[in-house]
Amino acid sequence: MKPALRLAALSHLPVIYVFTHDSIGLGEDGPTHQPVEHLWSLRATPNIFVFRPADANETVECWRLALLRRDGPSALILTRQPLPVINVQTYSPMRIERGAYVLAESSRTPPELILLATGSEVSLALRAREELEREGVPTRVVSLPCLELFERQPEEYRRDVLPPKMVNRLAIEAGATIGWWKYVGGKGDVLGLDRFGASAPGDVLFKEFGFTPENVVARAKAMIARNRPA
Amino acid sequence: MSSALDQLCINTIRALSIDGVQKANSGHPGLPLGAAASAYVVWTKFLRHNPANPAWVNRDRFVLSAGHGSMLLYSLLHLTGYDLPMEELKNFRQWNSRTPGHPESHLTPGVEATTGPLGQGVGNLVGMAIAREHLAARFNVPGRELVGYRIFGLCSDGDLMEGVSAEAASLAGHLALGSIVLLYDDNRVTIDGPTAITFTEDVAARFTAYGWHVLRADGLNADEVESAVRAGTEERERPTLIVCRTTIGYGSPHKAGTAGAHGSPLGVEEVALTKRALDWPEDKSFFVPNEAFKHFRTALTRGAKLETDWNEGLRKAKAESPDLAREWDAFWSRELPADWEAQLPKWSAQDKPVATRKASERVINTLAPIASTPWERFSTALLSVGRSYPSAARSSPFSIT
Repeated sequence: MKPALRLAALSHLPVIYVFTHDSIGLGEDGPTHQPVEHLWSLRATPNIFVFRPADANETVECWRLALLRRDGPSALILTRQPLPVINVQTYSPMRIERGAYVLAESSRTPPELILLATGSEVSLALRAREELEREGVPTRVVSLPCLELFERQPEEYRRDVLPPKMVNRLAIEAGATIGWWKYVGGKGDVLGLDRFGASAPGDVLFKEFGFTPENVVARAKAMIARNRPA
Repeated sequence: MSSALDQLCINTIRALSIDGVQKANSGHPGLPLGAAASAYVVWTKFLRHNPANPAWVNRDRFVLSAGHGSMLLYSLLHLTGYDLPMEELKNFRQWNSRTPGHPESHLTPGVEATTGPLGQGVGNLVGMAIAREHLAARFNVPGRELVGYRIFGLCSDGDLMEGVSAEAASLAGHLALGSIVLLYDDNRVTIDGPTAITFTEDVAARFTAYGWHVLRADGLNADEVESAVRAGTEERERPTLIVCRTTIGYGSPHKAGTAGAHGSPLGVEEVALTKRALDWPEDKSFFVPNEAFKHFRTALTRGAKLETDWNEGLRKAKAESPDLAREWDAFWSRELPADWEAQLPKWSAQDKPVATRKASERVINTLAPIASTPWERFSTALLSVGRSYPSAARSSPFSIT
């Protein structure tokens, strides 16, 4: 379906594509069904809005924006596995129309660390943040449901969300890492999956491939240590 | 019976097409030379369109799935009076022209679908036919046919080798999309040589098996094509495929019938020889005989009348039925139903974890029942995972397993 999709993008057609097999969360169906490369392949296609919502409420908002779009297609990247509903009372309100937004601010400013995540990995980032905060690392979590919309924001907004001075950035997404380096910068790190998945229960795969709060904490602390002035 | 004027017009298309390709020194002369007669028949004897208004909603659609034959389409658009001046034909494939290598629907007036990746145009025209049936079911009542357009297409061997055309054709047969008349330019040559090296299936039998109405014609014989297209338009219960036997690069003394005519310019000398063979002035480029020009441009007066008559029918229908007027205007304004955002579901942190594709399903099934007419244009995109629509009338029952 890639040719059809890119022709829709080229022709400015407001088609909505619903992708329902998201990452290694597919689990037992195995690597044949786990599209680890599709996110960046879609994002590399001009004029498609690629939405990867973090929970049910982000999904609704992504649908709303996709339905309002008139000048090109949208892709909704959705999970088969259940995701926790993010508590908007605890965290900041959604700003999907901005493409990316600060979902959880650090307890102290400025933050020492920014965790960037999309889709099912946003809840993981929030859990890791709790531990990091407990260990004294002020941590901001940024949800990035639509990078194309984020790129259209004024520079001022983009710098508010990802201030250039904050070099300790860890992006988390259960797929190819290739495009994230642009967002984490030269001193940042990416927890992704640059190989095909595997056939096993989804939660086992997340664990085996390192998508656990413990591993996020360890990767973040190692990065901070690397970047600390000698 | 086709006349000397018809033949002159067909050769005008051929000459313009090879001139465009030769001037660009890039492109595909073979398909326009071979398919000019069949395309001419469709465009001048059947296509109900108004070149002055490519957006007229009840126009017949023509999709050139074999997008590499773009000069054929650009020639027809120019000749019948679309906003595509001769200058654009001379700028074929050049920077900032509206005549790109393969047709792009957002760029060139009258191009219905962006094509070139083979098979995609067939998929597009099947989609257009589905949309047409939705609209017809919504707005037509006995004695009042507001939506009556047909979908014509032209595809090549390469298109029918592609899986996507098979999938789309299968669905078209299943849905009995009788508004489709697809011409297959059966020239038996691909970019790498004769189809005999890779593609020897019985296409007609395959389409018959899909439930299509399959006809055959000599694609170089305008009369035969005309009879077949007429039979295709009269068949309302099944989509029609017309297998048009043609010769790639027809008229080119050294390249006709060979892969050499497919995807590279004929060369200055061969262009001259081809024109000679077609009884065309060799020394003239981008030449349109007056008589041919006038004949093609009758599309403008005919088109204006078609659209005016249709507008009059629409005006009367709207006057008779305020409901229809409201629905029709709401549909074409592309506005979403009032208040739709307020109906969207919400979840709280106390709710159980939910798969985002389940949340998506809730969105779809919340909006589908309140969807007024504009939503129908989204109906095939609004897939409901694991089950069909709440209202079967609103959508074909797609599902994903």
